Amino acid sequence: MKKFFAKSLIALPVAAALMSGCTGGATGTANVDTSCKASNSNAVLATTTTTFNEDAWKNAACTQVALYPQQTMGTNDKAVNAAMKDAKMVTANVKALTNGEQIALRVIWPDASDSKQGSFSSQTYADGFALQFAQNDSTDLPYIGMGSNDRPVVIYLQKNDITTYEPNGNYDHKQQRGDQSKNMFDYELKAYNQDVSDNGHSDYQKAFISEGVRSMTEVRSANKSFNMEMVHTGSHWVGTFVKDVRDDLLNMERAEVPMTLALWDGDKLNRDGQKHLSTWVSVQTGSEVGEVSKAINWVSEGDANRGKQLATNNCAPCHNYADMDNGMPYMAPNLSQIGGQSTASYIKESIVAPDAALVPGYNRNAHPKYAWYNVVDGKRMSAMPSFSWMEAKDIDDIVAYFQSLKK
Amino acid sequence: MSKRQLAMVMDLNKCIGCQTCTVACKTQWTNRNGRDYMYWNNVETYPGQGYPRNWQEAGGGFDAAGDLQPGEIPNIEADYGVPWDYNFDEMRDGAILTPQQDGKEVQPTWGPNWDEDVATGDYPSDNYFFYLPRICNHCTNPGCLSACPRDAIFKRDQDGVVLVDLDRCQGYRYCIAGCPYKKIYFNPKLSKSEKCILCFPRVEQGLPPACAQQCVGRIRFVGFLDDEEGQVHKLVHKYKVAIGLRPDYGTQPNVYYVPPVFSPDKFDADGAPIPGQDRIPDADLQKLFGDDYKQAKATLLAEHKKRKETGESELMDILIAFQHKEMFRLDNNYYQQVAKEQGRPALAPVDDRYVKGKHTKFAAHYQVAGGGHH
Repeated sequence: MKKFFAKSLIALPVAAALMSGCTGGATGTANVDTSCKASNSNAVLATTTTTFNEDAWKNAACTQVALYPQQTMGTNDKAVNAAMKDAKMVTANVKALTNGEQIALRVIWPDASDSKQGSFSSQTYADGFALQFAQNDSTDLPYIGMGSNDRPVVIYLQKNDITTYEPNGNYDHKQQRGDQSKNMFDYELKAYNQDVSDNGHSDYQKAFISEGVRSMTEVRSANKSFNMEMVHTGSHWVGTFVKDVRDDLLNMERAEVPMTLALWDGDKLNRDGQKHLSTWVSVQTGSEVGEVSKAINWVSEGDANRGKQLATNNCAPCHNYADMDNGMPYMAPNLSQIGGQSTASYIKESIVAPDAALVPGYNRNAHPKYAWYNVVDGKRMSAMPSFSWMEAKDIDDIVAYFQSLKK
Repeated sequence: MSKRQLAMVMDLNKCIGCQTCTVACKTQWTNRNGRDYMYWNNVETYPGQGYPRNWQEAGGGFDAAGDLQPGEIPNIEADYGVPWDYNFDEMRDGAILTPQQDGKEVQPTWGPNWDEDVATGDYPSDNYFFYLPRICNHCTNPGCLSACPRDAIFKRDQDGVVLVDLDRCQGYRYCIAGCPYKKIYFNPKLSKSEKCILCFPRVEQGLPPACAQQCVGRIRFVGFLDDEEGQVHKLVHKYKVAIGLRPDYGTQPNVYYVPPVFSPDKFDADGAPIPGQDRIPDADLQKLFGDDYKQAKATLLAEHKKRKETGESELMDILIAFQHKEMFRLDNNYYQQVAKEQGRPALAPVDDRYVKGKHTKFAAHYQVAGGGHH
């Protein structure tokens, strides 16, 4: 660990922006303010400051963001399904600071346990958090599950202390050499293994770009311009993210940047497929609400009661949600949390243009009789027909109903 | 489904449980870098709990409707067993013999051959066991591949070998729950899944997998299923005496077994053999090999009898396994042709075909100026 932090401090000018004490582990966590005084809805206002210290964090505006368990489709791991069976909404306190050069976001969420992925275990998983940003300014927001075609997202991921060994610490499997393939013995071999261990232990911090599921690509060079840390207080995780306001991957020098959060609870065996997700919120450097925020905050004015009826006739034959369980379990995504994880515009888009974003997690080979998508000319097309023929009012009503679905 | 399928046949009548295959595989692939606990090839005693412990009860595979079934992820210490060593160095200075792993004392409770040679039944009247060597089945409908949400597992078109693309794998481990044979493993050091690769770098050079090459009982046949001259094809398709393990899992395995039908007779109270009463119950073998078992048994016994009476039987000649070159029908030229078509040298580095698999693009989806991914 020492080696990593030493490396990161040299390599990253932004590392100094991380709160004092937090990088050191337990020391300093007592100073971290986990409370959230003011509350904004769906907007994280960046407070301007000269230095990113604990006082600045204390005074920063705070927003409560709701994250709902991912339930679009169960996984095939009995243990994680059981652990997440009664999972409930989690509230994260989110703050932002900027000094003009860099922007820092802090996410504080309750989690009593500090879960790590053991270095000799097949059944342990690490806690973690991720921030996903829309790369472009558009009121047409990307799908929260790793973006959509032509609407790229940038994802920053930090997992808690996953110890992985790769001999040059650069994700490079080519360089792997077993100690038994080295012509060494005794102290030489010990030194070699120590070297492998020192160099191989890397912080599990990654940046990705994605335009829809399967296109997610790690952008290793981005490591130069951001840093993430997570510190456990005993009752909460305090995750901090710092990046240059502007770099080649993501420009945050925008009035409002759409962002979603994801949280992993290692104790509950969380990983892809089972985690908590938020809908879009906007990170704002000014107080003016722009078009993107309006799109994020748009609430359908339709009649939810009427929408429920329409959904029963038009959606429930395939989709399961709330108390509707007529659809075959693998036929279509479960919509029970859609109101907590999607904007109204996404719900509407999915009704009229189902091909725009395919919900990830479904492997066609696993349930061949229920194809969520068909491959046409190498492109995955949703098996759901477009409901664009419906009256605009009907669609609004269905959207209003689905926006109410969360628990 | 791949264009062609490379398959292996193992004749269980001849397996002596010597573990030479296990050692060949271990020294070649799994003695380092977090793979230390894995046995891509293991030989377990049946009936027994197997490796990993109780794998047959750990879920995965498909039901009759074709839906992937939920499964479990075995525990390294309790189900696979930790690789341990003893403190021999310290014993020079008077220490007591202690099992250790990485210098720390451990108390092993399971291992890959923990219940080896533990028989069922009453000695000497009807006790029995047999050996079941297992590798990845390189299934036509792999459970691991179907469980992966990232498309990190792929089946090679040219020979149906199932591989993990280590660049795409993020270590979620759903593949382990999805594989009913539990023949895909989690590497905790890399935080990625790894599995038997059917020694494809050897196969591409015309050599059989190391486990087959080293097998002293000569029980393993390797070849393409569509090679009608090959012994694998004859055993699987012509004589239908080689059957996939647990076909009820629905993954269509491509490692086939000649069931152990030539077991000794049971003894009566006086210790005399009872003719026709096999020690290995048909029910056991039917559970392992499904409905095709009965016909396979009938064919094997009939051909055995024919050979005894007439001195002729192609099937028995094949099972005697006279020549390696007949048992291993690999096609070096074929692989060279594939390499040519793919525009890569025939001796391309392993990583080009393995770490960067079918779904990983060599050029990044997105290139950051001044940076560079790959």
